[in-house]
This record gives sequence, C-alpha cells and structure tokens, in this order.
Amino acid sequence: MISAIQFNAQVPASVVITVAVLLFAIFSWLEWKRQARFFYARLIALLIAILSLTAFVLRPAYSTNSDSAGVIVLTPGYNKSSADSLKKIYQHYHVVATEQLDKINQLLEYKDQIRFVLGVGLPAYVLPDSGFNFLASPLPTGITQLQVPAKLIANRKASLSGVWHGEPGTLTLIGPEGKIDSTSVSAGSFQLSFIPQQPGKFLYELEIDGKKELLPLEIHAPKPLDVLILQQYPSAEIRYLKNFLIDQGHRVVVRTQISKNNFRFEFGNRAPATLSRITTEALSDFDLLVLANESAALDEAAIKDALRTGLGVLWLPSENELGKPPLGFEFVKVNADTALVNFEDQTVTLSAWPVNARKDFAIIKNKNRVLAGYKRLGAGKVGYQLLTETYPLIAKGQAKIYNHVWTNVVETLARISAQSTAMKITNSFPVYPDEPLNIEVLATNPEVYLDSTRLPLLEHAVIDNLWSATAWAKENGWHQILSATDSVTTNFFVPDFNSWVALRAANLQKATKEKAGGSLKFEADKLSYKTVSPILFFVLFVLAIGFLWLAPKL
Amino acid sequence: MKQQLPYRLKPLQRSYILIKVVEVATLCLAIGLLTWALLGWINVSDATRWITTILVAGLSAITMAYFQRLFALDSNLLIRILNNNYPELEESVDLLVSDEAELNLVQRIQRSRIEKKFEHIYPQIKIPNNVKATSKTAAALVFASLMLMAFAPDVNQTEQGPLKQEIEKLNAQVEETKLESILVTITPPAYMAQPTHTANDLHLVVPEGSTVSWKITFNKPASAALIFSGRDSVALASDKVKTYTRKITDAGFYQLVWQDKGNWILSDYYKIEIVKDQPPKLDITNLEQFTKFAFAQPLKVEVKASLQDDFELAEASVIATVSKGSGESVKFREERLKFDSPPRISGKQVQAAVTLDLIKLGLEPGDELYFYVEANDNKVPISNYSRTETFFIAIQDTTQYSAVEDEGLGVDLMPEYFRSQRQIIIDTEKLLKEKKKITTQQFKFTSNELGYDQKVLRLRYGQFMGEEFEDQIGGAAVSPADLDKDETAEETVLRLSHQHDTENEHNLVEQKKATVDTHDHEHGEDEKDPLAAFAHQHDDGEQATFFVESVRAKLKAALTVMWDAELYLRLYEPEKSLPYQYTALKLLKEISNDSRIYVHRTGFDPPPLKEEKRLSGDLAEVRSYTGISKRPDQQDYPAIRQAQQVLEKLIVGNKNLTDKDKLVLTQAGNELAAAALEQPGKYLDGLSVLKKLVEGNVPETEWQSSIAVLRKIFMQVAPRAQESPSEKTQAVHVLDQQFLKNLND
Repeated sequence: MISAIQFNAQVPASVVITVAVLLFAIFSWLEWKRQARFFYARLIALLIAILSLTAFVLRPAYSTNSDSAGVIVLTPGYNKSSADSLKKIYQHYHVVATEQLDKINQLLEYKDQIRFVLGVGLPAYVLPDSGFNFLASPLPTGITQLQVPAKLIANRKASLSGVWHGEPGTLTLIGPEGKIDSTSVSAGSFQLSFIPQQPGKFLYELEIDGKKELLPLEIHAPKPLDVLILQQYPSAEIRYLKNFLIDQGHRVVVRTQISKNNFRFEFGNRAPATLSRITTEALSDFDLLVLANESAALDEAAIKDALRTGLGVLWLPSENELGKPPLGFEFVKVNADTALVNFEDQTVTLSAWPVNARKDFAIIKNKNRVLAGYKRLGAGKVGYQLLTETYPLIAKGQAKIYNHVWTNVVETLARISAQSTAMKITNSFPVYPDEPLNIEVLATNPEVYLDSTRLPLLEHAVIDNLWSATAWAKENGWHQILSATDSVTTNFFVPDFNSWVALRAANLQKATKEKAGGSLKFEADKLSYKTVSPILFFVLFVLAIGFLWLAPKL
Repeated sequence: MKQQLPYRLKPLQRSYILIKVVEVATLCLAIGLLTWALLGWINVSDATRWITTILVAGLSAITMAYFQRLFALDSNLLIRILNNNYPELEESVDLLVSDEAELNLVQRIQRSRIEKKFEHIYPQIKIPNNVKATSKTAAALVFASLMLMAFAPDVNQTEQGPLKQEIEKLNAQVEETKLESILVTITPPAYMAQPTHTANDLHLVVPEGSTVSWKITFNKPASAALIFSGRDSVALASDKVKTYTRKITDAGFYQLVWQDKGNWILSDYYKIEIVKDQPPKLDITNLEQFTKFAFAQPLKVEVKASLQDDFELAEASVIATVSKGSGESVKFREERLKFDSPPRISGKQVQAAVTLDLIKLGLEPGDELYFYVEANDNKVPISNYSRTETFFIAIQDTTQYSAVEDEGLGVDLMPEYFRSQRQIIIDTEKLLKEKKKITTQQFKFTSNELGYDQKVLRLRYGQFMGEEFEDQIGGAAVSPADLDKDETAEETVLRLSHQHDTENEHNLVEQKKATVDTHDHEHGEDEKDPLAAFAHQHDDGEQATFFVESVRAKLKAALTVMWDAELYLRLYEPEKSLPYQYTALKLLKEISNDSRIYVHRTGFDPPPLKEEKRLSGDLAEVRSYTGISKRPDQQDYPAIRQAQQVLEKLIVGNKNLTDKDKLVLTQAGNELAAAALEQPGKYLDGLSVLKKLVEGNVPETEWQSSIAVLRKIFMQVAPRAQESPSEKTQAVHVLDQQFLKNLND
C-alpha cells in the first residue's frame, strides 16, 4: 500500500472525526448566534482551530518519495566517473561521502537505505544485511593481509606472513631490541621470522620505505609443566633430559629403580612427596609421564585411566621392547639406525632405533620416517621418541637443536590443561577506537570486563555456555578483556585511525563484499513516513483561537 | 728660607717637577702592568689582582718620588742644578733668590751681573733629566708584562666548557638554590708522581687509588648529598661551599642531589672510570727459550731484557736455578742476580742486561740452568709483579750413548690390557669394517672399549707430562737405571715385550733407538740420563721437565688429539675418531725419534658380570634415596620487565606517567644501576635517560629516541632464556570433553 499520508492515531480515526464534526457544528452555531462582525472569518478560524485539534490526535505523517530512500555511499578511493553516472541515473538518491563524516557511525542513520557503496567499503556493522551493490576500488599500497601466530612464546622461533600490495621494496621487522629481520618484497606474499626474547606486550614495527606500522605482539612466558619420569636404570639421555627440564623451571620427579622395592627419587623444583604407588590420582598431578626403559606393566591400568583424562605419556623404548611395543604401537623394522634431523638450516645425524611407525601422528619426522610420534587415547596423548641419543648434541655445542627437539616432543604430548573460560575477539585486526568489538566467550557463568567496564553478555540461543558481547574501546593502545571468575585475560591492541590503512581497506572490502547482494532490490524498498510536527498545529490553533477571542472586540 | 722665586726661575722649577713626575708615573705604571701580568700566573680573584697591582704601583711611586726628592723640593735644588751645570752663572744663582735688602754691596753687584747673564742664557737652560733611561726601562717592563700576559696559563679557562654547560643544565630546573660551581680535583696516588689537576668534565677518568675531592658551591646554604654508585650516599655540610674528598678504588658512578625550595634536584649520573696501574711488561730479547751449549764454547751468556711499566719500575732481577746431579740426588740451587747495567732499575722503560757466567754458577756438562726475569713496579701498598717465562740453558753432555735393540726377541705374552696407538687404530678400522655384520649394541660396546683403551694410553703418556693425578691407572715408571744385570729371564721378557706394544709394532717406521743399551752398565751410577734426572720432579703439568721443550709441546699436542679420539670413540663415531688417532700416532712417532718414552703395560681385568644376579642383592637395609634439585638461580630483573611494559605504553603517544609508572621506572633504575656497576659504559646512558623520564624532563623532540634507547637497554639487561616447552591451556566445551574421553572406548 502506497499512500501519501498516514495517520498514527492512538484512538480510532472515525471517532475523532465524528467528535470534530460535532464540535464544529456546535461552535459554528454559537458563533452565528453572537451577531458580531466578521462572521465568515470567524467561521474559518473556528474550522482551523478544530482541524488543528483533530491533527493533535490523529498525528498525520507524510511519506517521503519512495525512490529517494536510496543512499549512495562514497568511501575513500571511489571511482569518480562511476559515482557521477550513478548520480545521473538515480538523481533522487542521497549521496553520502564518508570523508565528510566525522565518524563512520553516522552512517548508521541510513543503514537500511544504502543502495550503493563505492570505494574501499564499509565496516559490517553499518551495512544492511543485503540489498546493496558494491563497486570496489583497487586497494591502496600497503600490507593487505597479515597472519600473526595466535600465541607467541618467548625464545621460540615465530614467523609472521602477509601480503604486500605495492611497489617492490624492503620490509623490515623492528623490535624493541632493534632491527630483527628484513625481506625484500614485491607485490605478493612475504614471510618474516624472529625469536621474541622477552615475555610481555610489545609493539614491534613493520617498516617499508620509511613508513612504519606498529605491530602489537603479546609474548607469553613458557608455563612450567609437571613431569614424572620413571626409569629402571639411569641413563645419560634421561639425566640430560631431567637437567634440561629442571633448568627451564619445570617441576620434575624422577624415579629410578635401585632394587626390587627400592627407588631413588629426585625432585626438581618441587617439594618431595611420597610416590610409592602409581595411581590415577597421583598421575592427575602430572602433565607428562616419561617411561624410560620401563614398561610399567604393573601400573598400566592406572596409566591408561590417567591417559583418558588428559595425561600425556612419552615412552622411550629400549631395544628389547621394539619387537613387541606396549601401549598398542606398531613398528616396522627398517635398516637405518641413524636419522637426519633438520633444524633451521642445519642438518644433524642422530642415532635412532631402526623402526618406523606410519600410523601415528608425527612430532618429529624426516622424509623417510617418523622419529617421534603419538596417538590419541581419550583426552590424552601417548607418544614415543625413537631418537636414542640426543644428549651428545649438548656436548657438541648444539644445545639449540636439543632444546628444540625436546620442546617439541614434551609440549606436544603434555596434558592440555583445562581453562574454564575462553575469550575471543572475532573482528579482524585492525579495529579502531569507538568501533564495535565482537567478543565471544565460552564459559559456564561468565563475568567479563573490558578494562574496567563490565560487559553485558548474550548467551547463544541453541548452544550452551557460548556467549557473545559487543564492546567499544575508547582509546588507542593496549586493552584487556578479563574474566572475573577465573582471572583469564585476553589482551588486544587498538591502533590509531591512520595506521594499517591498506589492511583495513582489504578487511572492509571483504566485509562489504560478503554482505553485498547480487541484484538490487528496489521492490523491497520500504516507505518511510515523517510525522508532521505537532508544533505547527499548535501554532495554528493558538492563532485561530486568538482571532476568535479578538474578533468581537474589534 | 722659603722664598718667592723670581719670575724667571719659577717656570724652570715647574718644568723640573713636571719632568720628574712624568718619569715616576711612567715607571710606576710599567711596574703596575708587570704586577698585573705576574698575578695572571697565579690563580687569584680579580679583586685581589686589582688591589695588589694598585698597591705595588702606588708603593713604587712613593718610593721613587721619595728618592727623586719630590717631597722635599725647594729652590736650593734648582739653584744647585743651575750652579753645577752653568759655570757662566759663577755659582751665584742663590743671589737671585735672596732678599735684595739683606745683601751686601758685593753681592748686589754680583747679583745684577748674574741677572744679566741669566737673562742671556735663559733660553738655553736645560734641566737635566733621565727621560731616556726611564722610557727605556718602562718600555722593557711593558714588553715583559706583555709577554707574561701572552703566555699566562689559562687558570680560569677550566671552568668554561663542559663543566659550565653542565652547571647551567642543572640550574635550568632550579628556582632558588642555584649551583654556582663545581671543582673536581684529582690527586693521583703519590707514587705515580703525577700532578694534581682539576677535572674539566664531571665524568671522571682517574688513576686507581686517586683521591678525588669535590668542591661544590651554591648561591645559598642548602642540604645536598653525593650518591655513589646509586647506594652509598654522602650528606654534605649545609654551608654554601661544600667539599668532599674520597679515595677512588672501584669504578662506578655518582650523582649530586640538593634541595631547592623543598624539591630535591637530582643531577645526571656521572661515571667514574678507573685506570689501573698495569704490571710491568718484561721480555728477554736476545735468547731462545731453550739454548744448548757445547762445553767448549765460552760459557758466558748475555741476557738482554726490555722492561716497561706505565709509571715507574722499582726493581728487577734475574732468578736463576741450577739443577745438578741425576736420579734421586738431583739438586737445585737458586740464585738472585742483579742486572749489570743499569745498576739501579728505575724509570718507565729500561733496557737491562746481565752476563751469566755459567762456570761461575757452577754448571757442568749435563746440568741445566733455568732462569727468568722478574720485576716490580712502584705501586703502593702492594706493587705489581710480573715475570717472564722460564728460559733454559743446557750444557750438552758429551758422553752420549747410542743403543741398539735386538729385534725379533719379543713375544707378546701379556694380555692386551694396554694397547698402543697403532693397535687402537687397527682395531678401530676393523670395527668399522665389521659394522654391518655386528649388532648395534656390540658395535657401541666395542667402540666404547676402544675409547677406554685410548684413555689408558693417554693417561700413560700424560704421566710424562707430570699429570700425576691419574697415575693410579698404571704402575710406577721404570727408569733405565733400575735395569741391572741380574734380571731374570721373565723380567727380560716383560721388559722387552714392550717393544711390540709400541706405535712401531709392525715396523712401519725405522726402528727407534732404545734407551737401554750396553753402555749403561759400564757407566754405572754416574750415568747422567736426563730422563732419570728429572723423573722425580713434582712439578705441575705445565712446567714438567721430563722432556725438552719441543718434545713437551709435541707430547701435549698428542695428548690433546687423544682426548678427541676418545671423545668420538665414546660417542660411537669411530670414523670421526680415526683422523685424530692418526695424528696422535704421527706425533708419538716423532717424539720417539726425539727421546725414548717408557710406556708400561698395566690394567685391570674385571670379572664378567652375571646378568641374572643384577638387582637381586639383599638391599633390605638400604633405604630409598631422595634428591632435591632446583633451577639455578638467575637474576631476573622483575622491575625491568614491568618497566618494559610501561615503555610500550608510552610509545603510543601517552606521555603522562602515573605515580605507579614512576615507581616502576625508579625500581627498574635501581636494577639497572646494579647492572651498570658491572658495565658502567654500557648502561649509564640508560640510567640518565630513565632519570629524565621519571622527572618528566624529556623534551618533546627527544621523546621517541629516549624511549628507543631505554627499550634497547632493558632488552639487553633482561636475561635471555632458552627454548622450553610450555603448558598449553584450552577451554573445552563440556560436550567436547565427553567426546574425547569416550573416544577409542
């Protein structure tokens, strides 16, 4: 239904009109009786007064022209000629250029009226869900894609990759300690690697052609693990592994069999405790159980139980176990008793048991075979290490390789400890100040704060414990989302408006393209009505009544 | 008799006085100038300089005026001058000034005559003067003063320059109590004989043990303190002028703080660097480390040494040790010899020489003389000492012998407890050949065994280097002197079987000379075998003297490669070990050509282990052992780590420090100060920047660079760790957990 005028009366219009007609009849009769001058003028004034009163109640609204509801949004980088031709075709469309707006949020006013978006695009939250056309401009020069590892750990090699859009140049990564890595880039993808040295929140810089972008990185310190090592007789390999773990601050217990019922215990970084029996309960304190030359046949049931609840088990086989491996592993005999292992640009030869296992997930492998692997058992992982002697690496001054090999094996197998809350920001970087941040929370009864503001959370309609919230960061800089129930925090960085322009443009284009509909939906245009201001009627009413009062006195 | 001079005499009198006054004035002005110039050489204040100059000039003016009788001028002086200089006036000028009434007739006549004459000569009258001499003297004095001024030392100049700028910088933030001057005087220790001087920078570089005094002047009394190395603070007297004296023995840094209207003003940090007194450098220039003489040569050796010290040498001498005799009866005698020239050692650099008369020292053929040069410098209280390496002089024993060994006698009846290097090489090669046929376990076992053999061999040879600490491995060395005629057949076999246990077992090289020879018995107890002579010398390994120098070096090299050979054998990499073994063999061959080496067969053959008995002993009494170990302590710098985060916040443009930030930065400063103590040059800049930052004194333009400097320094100070596994955390949905738990069931 298309009509020019609409009434938004709160009482039925017929009643109002009836009352109005009645009132007019009564008052015009009274005026006629008065026998004063200006009868016709008074009658007209009366009519106006009554009509104004009626309008108060009926609240008329007029429709704006249906076609003029469309809005063309010009975002930076739009093609001028296409904008001009669009304006010619849709002359009644309203044209908004984002460059003239103080804040992008002002576009929310036109959210449902947007018909065309030209240029780099708009953030998803100001766009209608569909029904508009997007004429994308080419991306500006800069980094248009950037992948940073989700979690960076200190002293571990990390690499970040991305896509450069622009003239060839040299891209340099600068950390707090100075220049770290650089690569020459031409249009296309690039990769930079570095070893973050200290834990904390740091602002690295990516520099190209003298232009710098702040790259926020949060470096985490390694969290110590609880490791239990059981061995039947001491060996150099275990001795070095134990020292390595203790030196790195992990909590280690080593149990060495001395005789049938005698054990030698060594506690590293933890208080001595009795551990005569290996029970599921005792194992729940540990993240990793290392079985060295030790079949632990007696405790197999307890270990399997603990495995299901998440414990990691590392089995270091001895030669006689290889033929009939425990824990359900299957090995195939091979000839080579050494293996080449690559680390960065070095290749070292390490001795290894002459077997191969193809079924399992690999932790360390070379092109021929799996040298360390694991399989899942319940929530836990059980793995093995076929490299027999890695400790000579330390004697040869290749401790870095040793650390890398064992870090890899230990961390892969160790228990993944349960955290009661997980929080995630779903927006892609960068999000500027005052832009909505979408936060996803996985927790039972979360209480989440952004900096110190408590966030209202909305639970997912179908999925239990999945919550979402929208928040706004006011200033640029680091911000923190905190779960008050368990002190889990997530840090994120809000950059300055003028930074990461190219990446932002790429994000906007992606978001806009996702929402832009294939065809224009003019028929779906809704009429919008504008209510006539009641002040107008009030003024008319006062004038009319005033004349009626004045007329007899003239 | 003061009279009015007649009109003609009056101008003469006036011009006389004028000339004298001009003379005196010129001279005293010149003297004044000289005084001024002289005072320029002494560090005095301007006021003193003025007053002294005026006093001297005034005094000399008065003195000169007195001697020129300027104070006692009367007409008589002029009359005398006229009478003396102009005989025409006939000694009668006095008549001109006398009262005419008092004169007698003759006098009156004479007076009128003289008056006429006087009128006549008046235009020619010249008053005698010293103007020429005076002007010359004055000119000389002025010239001397100008020279003095031109070459005057810049006493006041030292206060200009960096020090002045530093003071201005410090005063910039001050409202009331301003710093006027700082005078740092460095007095090096007396023995260095260096002059006391004032520093023209607040960063001090001082000789070790110097006394440094600070004289700090403020415009008004205020409390102030000097803080040394960030922990040792010295409150200064609350006068306007504060002095503090300190003896500097360690490097560090200091800071000046004072109170201004209730605020404490902190200066930058200034470093104190120490220049250590180096020990003397000695060198014997004309001799090889090992010199051999035939007995026939003129047995005098001149030893030339060059001695050097950074300040002053105090004494030097040659320590000579003569070793005589052989076997158990070896005797040592030590003598301290003074240098012949110069007779007394002093100065920074000395070329000293001494002639050693070997005969006088009592050397005989076969004896050796060891000597070295030692020197002390004049440092107090404990002087620096250094010495050269030991030099050897040997007198050749002409009664040499050569030995021939019968070949083919030896039958190796002894077990292979002790393999030779050649045997080890052969076994290693064999092992490598058989590698594919035997099990890994066997391969490794054999490789390890060979490693053990290599070790035993190394220890045996090591004994000859004086490495006595591991001699429990083998038996005592047998000296050739012990081999007497009465040995049994078994003993002979035992002795001779060594031949087949040496590196030359397979006669690959020419048979070496045997030490044991037929001459042995003839020489009897007097035999001076150098090896035997030194066999009981309990030296350390470095200076063991079993062998001459070249042999020692070779043997040392051989031992080093044996270590490597053993390492790879024990790492089960015999192929890598082989090159080292070959090198060892080559070196041993060379040594055996130089000198005979005894290697004794020894070893311990353990009984075979019974596998089934393992872990079966009765250990009821043995208790379980519990050991505790901890991560090694590490300086972790917690405040610096926090401060790093504060800095990261500041980069984003937020330039306001909260009180908490300031506290963190101050604590980080303390930690940095501790680190700076060890390396002041490296971290002191950071400390200064940090201080400015805490005080809010960093100018806008330097903001970014200051932060960058601090970030870098903090990154360097905080220790780096190694790659280490980390616990992973994950929030798992209850459903996922259940799923994983029941997986594989």
